[in-house]
Amino acid sequence: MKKFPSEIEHITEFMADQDLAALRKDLMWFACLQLRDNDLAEDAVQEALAAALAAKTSFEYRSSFRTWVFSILKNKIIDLLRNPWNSRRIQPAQTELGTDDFDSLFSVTNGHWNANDRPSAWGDPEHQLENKQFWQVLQGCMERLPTATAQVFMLREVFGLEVKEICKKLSISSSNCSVMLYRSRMALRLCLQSRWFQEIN
Amino acid sequence: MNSCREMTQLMSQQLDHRLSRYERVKLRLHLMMCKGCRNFEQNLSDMRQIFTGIGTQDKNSGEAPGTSSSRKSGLTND
Repeated sequence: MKKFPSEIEHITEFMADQDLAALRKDLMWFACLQLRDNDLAEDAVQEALAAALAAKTSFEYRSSFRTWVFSILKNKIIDLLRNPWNSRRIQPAQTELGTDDFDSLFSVTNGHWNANDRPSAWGDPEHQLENKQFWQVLQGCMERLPTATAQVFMLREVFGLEVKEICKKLSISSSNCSVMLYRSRMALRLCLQSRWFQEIN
Repeated sequence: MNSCREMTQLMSQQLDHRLSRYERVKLRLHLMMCKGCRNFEQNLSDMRQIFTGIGTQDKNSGEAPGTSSSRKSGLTND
């Protein structure tokens, strides 16, 4: 782990070493998910933490500091995703999801859900968010998405960007964008259903 | 044809922009009669809720964010 600049010490007044390590771990998890490149993620996380730690403002509650570091990190990630030089460091896209990938869920004759593939109710999502195993399954499902699809999905669902903005940033057409969002939602829903929600019911 | 496949596309699109009135009515009529698609719509809504909260949730200690109880020990530096 790279060392933090030595002048940054007031952090220890309100955050123990292991808490900082845990936060860094969460930041890395988030950054790797977006950037698909460990070095790039490492740089982004270090910069975000350093920027937050160097601030003069004191934080009374741990959770507000955490939220703030994440918002710094998110901005750095958006900049990195936008920068064409950096996208060369991002892993080349695996085969993106095709149009036919979800055809097998529907009956050939009438286009209705096949009985075995019919979506089921998931119950309260808030409850899942408290479960560590759920996060691991979620991460696994995200990692199964091809890179470009995952990035479009993330920008929309995690960063809350409008489709128009995403198209502009990634230089794709809006219909392309809609299709990628559709495929990512279909794939993720399927993955979460089969690997998590089906198991627990 | 108002197939479920077509409806899943509309349900995905409605997360990003307002559907036309015709599309909205078509979708609502279908949902009235199709539990699979009703569940699908709810699944998408659940996923949006999950991913909106991603990153700020504390995944290591299993606690909701903002609670002040101590974290689990045993975390090591990389």
